[in-house]
Amino acid sequence: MNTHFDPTIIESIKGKYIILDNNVLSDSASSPEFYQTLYKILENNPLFIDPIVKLEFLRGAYIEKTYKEKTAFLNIEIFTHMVDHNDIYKKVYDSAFNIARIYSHHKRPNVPLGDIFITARQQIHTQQEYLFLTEDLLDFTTLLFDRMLILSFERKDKDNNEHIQHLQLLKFNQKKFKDCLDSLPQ
Amino acid sequence: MMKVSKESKKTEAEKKISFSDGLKIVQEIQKKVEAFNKTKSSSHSSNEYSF
Repeated sequence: MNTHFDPTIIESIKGKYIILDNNVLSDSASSPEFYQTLYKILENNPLFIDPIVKLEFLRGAYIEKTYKEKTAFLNIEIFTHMVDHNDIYKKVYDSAFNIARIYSHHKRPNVPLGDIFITARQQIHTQQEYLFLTEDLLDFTTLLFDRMLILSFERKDKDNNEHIQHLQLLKFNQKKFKDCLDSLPQ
Repeated sequence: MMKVSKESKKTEAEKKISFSDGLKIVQEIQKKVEAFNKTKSSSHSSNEYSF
């Protein structure tokens, strides 16, 4: 699979923690070539699964066997499940209200709730820096994130038509968040 | 013995899977997605299927 990205950036983020979005997990769970290519590129990064992403990934699997296969996929050794407990729930929940207000103020009231919670979990991690890899260019933007890297993959669909798939690697920007929060109308 | 006992209590959901075994799982899921896509007239990305 042909890929296009800046290898110096991949080198510069060596060792940084990366949270994977559902679209990245889903695509890598269903394409052996994409699975091998993507995780080779990210072989020097610990990869994390957010609890909300896990729910999004598993919710389509209502057949028991498929559910077990997808659960097994999440247990591949390269993935680490993010810690979750009551204190974190409260912080995430509180942050989600602020993020939802910010999006609404910027004319984005329809950002999916799951994406708000995924963003909120990154906002509360002020001590540990996480990056976020997603295919979603609409609901994760430079309003609250900095874009670090674009990874492009030459792919073919089921009808053998070529297309370019872009993934963006983002970093939550606490200053942008604070500025947006401070600028909400009184 | 204690370690074996603990291991045996692990559920399927808790077992860590190697990268190469993960590839086999991906191949199985790929077959299902392709079969699912054949039943649909429109193009679906892999994160839209459910079964």
